Amino acid sequence: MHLIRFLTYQCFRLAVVVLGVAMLNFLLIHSAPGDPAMVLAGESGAADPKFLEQLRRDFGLDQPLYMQLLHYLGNIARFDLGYSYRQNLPVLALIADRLPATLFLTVPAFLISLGLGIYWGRHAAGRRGWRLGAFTAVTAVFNAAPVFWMALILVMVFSYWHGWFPAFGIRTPGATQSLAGQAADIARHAVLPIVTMSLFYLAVYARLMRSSMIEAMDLDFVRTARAKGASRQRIVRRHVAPNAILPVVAMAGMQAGQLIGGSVVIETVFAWPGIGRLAFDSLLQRDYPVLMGILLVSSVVVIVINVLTDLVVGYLDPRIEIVT
Amino acid sequence: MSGRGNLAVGLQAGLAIMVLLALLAVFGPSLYGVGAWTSTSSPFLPPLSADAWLGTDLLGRDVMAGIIEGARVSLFVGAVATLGAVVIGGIVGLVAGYFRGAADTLLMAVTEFFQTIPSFILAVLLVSIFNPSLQSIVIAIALVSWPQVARVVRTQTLSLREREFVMAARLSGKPVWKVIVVDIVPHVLSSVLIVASVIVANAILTESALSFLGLGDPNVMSWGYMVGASRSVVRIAWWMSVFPGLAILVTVLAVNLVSDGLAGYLDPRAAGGEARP
Amino acid sequence: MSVTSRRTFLTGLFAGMTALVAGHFMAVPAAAQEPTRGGRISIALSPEPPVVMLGVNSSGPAQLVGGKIYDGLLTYSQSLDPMPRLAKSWEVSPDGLRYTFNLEEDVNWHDGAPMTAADVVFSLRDFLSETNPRARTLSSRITSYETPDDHTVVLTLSEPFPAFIRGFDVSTVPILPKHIYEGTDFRANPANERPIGTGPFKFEEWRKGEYIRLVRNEDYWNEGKPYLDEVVFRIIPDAASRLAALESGEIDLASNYDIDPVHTPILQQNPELEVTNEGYEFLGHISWLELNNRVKPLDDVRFRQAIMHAIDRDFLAQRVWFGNAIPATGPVASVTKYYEPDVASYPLDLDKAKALLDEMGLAPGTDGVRARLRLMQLPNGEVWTRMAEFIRESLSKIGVEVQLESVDSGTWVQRVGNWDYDMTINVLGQYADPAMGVARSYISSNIRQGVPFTNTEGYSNPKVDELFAKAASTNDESERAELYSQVQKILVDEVPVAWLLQVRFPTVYNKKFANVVTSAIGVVDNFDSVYIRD
Repeated sequence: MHLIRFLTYQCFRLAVVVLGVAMLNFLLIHSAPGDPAMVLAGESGAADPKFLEQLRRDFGLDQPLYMQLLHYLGNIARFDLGYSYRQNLPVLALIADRLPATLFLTVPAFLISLGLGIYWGRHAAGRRGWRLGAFTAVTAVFNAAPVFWMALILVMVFSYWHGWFPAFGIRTPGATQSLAGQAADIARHAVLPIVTMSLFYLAVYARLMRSSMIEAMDLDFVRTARAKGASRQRIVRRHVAPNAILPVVAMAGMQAGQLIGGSVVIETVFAWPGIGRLAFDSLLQRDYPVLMGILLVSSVVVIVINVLTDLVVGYLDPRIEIVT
Repeated sequence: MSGRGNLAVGLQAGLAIMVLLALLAVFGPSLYGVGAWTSTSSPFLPPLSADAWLGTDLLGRDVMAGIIEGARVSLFVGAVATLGAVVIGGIVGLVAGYFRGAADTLLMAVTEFFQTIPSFILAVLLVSIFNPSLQSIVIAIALVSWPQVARVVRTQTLSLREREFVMAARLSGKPVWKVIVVDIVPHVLSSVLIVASVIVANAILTESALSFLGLGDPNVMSWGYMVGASRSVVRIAWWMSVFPGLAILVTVLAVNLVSDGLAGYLDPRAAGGEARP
Repeated sequence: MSVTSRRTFLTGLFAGMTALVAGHFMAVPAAAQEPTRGGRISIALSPEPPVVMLGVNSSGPAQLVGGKIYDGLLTYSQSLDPMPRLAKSWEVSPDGLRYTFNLEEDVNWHDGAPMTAADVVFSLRDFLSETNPRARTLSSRITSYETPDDHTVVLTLSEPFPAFIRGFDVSTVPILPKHIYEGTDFRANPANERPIGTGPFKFEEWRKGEYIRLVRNEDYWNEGKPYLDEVVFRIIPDAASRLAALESGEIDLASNYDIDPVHTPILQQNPELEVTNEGYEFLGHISWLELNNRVKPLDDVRFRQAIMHAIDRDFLAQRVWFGNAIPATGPVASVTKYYEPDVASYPLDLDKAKALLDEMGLAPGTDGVRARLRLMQLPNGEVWTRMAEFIRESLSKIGVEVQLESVDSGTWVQRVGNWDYDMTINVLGQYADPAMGVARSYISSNIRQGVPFTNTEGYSNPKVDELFAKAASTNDESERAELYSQVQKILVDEVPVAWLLQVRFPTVYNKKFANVVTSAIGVVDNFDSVYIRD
């Protein structure tokens, strides 16, 4: 019962936030200087006012801003995200086409960094001496290295030097293979981007897990278990680790939005055809509908992930009840 | 080595590196002598060349000179953007936490909006709206980072306001602003300091990412810009991209060491202490 | 002479003559050897155009693809002489008012319908005059269209316009099918997804984001051609990927903005690749540092001349463009008609520049700065950014402090159009004739606020206006040349903008392909004679 009420409330919240985000994004994007019609028209066309007028009419840019906004909001309600000026495709189709590529990078990166981070942090909690030093040093470096630079270093070492992985793109151009062959080709191309994306968060979660483990060691019921004479491993496994995971999962949920933002840089360096790069290109070309669509979709994704995180944390932590 | 001992070393090391960087930024240009933007006729010089210790770039500009100037940019952006984020976030958090009710709901809604859009994309959007320059980057980063400060401050304020000495102050007829500034703010500072140090690191990384993508200030030599501008020739001229990136890494590392150290001292529970089975 | 020596002599003579004759016969078949039919060429395409129907989209990428699907009436040799295409011959009346084009007979559209003069009239008068501003400069001067028979088109102009004959390339006036487009909404017509033309290659398949595939038109009007089976355009948005694809052989040809000039040395050393700067004579791009004549001290000709003296154009051509550009000497490119080389010159001379500034009364302040100006970067790629940075350095040497502004395309176009800048880097095409692509930047009547790619610097000189106007409508060749020579001399003296470079983009292609660049429009042309050498 609680769960249903919780979910209903979240759906309502989602709708309200989406509406607010749409309005504010619209205003924000339209304050950027520059006229999309002029960008589209290029050298031959932009010098011709009649041609520009036609283009503006085609895209509804000649109407006052509030009318454009109302029109847009009305369309969103019908799941129509508009039409891309540049690409001549419906925005929803364009996003649906590019989103899988981004998910193909971000989801594995998320899972790897979370999983490995938790595992590593858990074990680092018991370490001392040089092992601890190594852990601290390595995580510190991964935390401090800029993502785009890390990407270049990995490309230099593993692609140019050793030739193990392709340096960019999602697949080898011109290669026509079986479905399995294509899948393998894409997987090979995805290795370096996924690794780059994971490193930063791996360090974050590993450290958080370790400090979380140490904190959990001090919890009351852990002390009780120790007092009762339970073995160390048992304590760690049954009491400490499950509690330690909570803050890490919560933090991971909050970072979801950052992953999407980080995809802009990764997709640029690796020439990966995802929505991060699409957002960046659309901004430079003033392709408003596409940019709005991406911001909308990513906001929805972030909210959904937040809700899921709350659910997961609620499930894991017996002290929390899911209430509205 | 004890956990706290580790932290102390880290804090000191971090502070030392930052001081060195600041000295480099201030005195470097005059000591090194070569301008960061001067094109010479010897592009693509590798490191350890006679006139250029770290080599030259595509237009023959000295990489070392670029790194020196980049230090100024990174430190400036880190400091000022964080200051802005702290001021905005602090005010929002204090107001929301102290007055609660409608003000709180409204301010938290605004905070939520800012945190729903992926922060990097929002930064890119903001920088494009105002033309790319150091000022617009600083403003954009501040606008993207203040929600973290606001949340921390709000949480602290909410709990502080129920403490005895604060209630006493409120009941004694002290003006509201005085209560906030005199009684609440000092106790919020330590958490603010911790979150601020995290924001400094983020600010430096964000500025370098923006410059890498070409959205930086074209009049200053930023480390991110150096990496981005030589990306197309990284296969034949690795030094143009590697050294500036290394500079970013060392700087952010230093900031992180300082921030971990601060967290250790100011909030010992979160310190990386020993595991005591 | 003894008998033996005479025999030897005659034998030798006979042998020599046999060898000569045999060699002649052996050489002739080799020269007349038919190019091998078959094979496929892969061309880099970036960015992916939304549509390749040339009628509604005349951007560079669309031209690259559309130029093989459609035909124009003419094409142009590398010295810009008109050559026949769909028009096998043409005549211009002595008064320069009537143009008669005789079309090839037996030309069919890709869907089988016959192409006639009616298609030509429809394309120019009804379709392109609405959708293509460059075509409109041609059609706005036409007072009547006649089609005495199915294969003749007669156009009558309101006044002589000798540049007219150079406007009929496939990118300006592609011949479009009337039976498909008449009476429809041109932009929304579903036929735009599968363009129908008369060209040597037919549209076959387009996988969005991946490739566009064209196949040989077996029914092409030019017997025996094309030689290739297929032309495939691979969509590769990233510069580094394109370079790698070229080197690995995944693609056979890259052109225009595909390759960053910094990579041309590597490509030139590649034994399998040919790097050429030819094929851009029609476009003839010139890049200049545009100086807003309304902003002090840019309104003073001495300041502008000082700027010309301060910038090392050879460095830009060699070190920034890696030989893919040559210094420009004035407003007209050396490949454009009526180029006048004998104009005032501005060699690199910092002392002369400073002297000019001193003469103006612009003495350096305590910080050594005489003037402060903003330079808006051209957001067309990294090479333009490097140019801006170099210019800033150069001008700082004469005491002019330059502040760079980084903008994106949308902002750039708007600000230039609205004159909201001090200096910016601009690059425009010339389109073979000064009347088409040069005059627009310098005549007073083209000072139109809010419209980019016009006379945005605000230069105004009645004599220049008069010369351009007269030259555009003068029929006599030598008189035209004289008029354009005069106007170039005046312009170079007055330096309305600081011309920098003639940009000649590199075309890089696999050496196994022959006849890749055979005309002034280079790779935009139809590739009907391209074949694979064996």
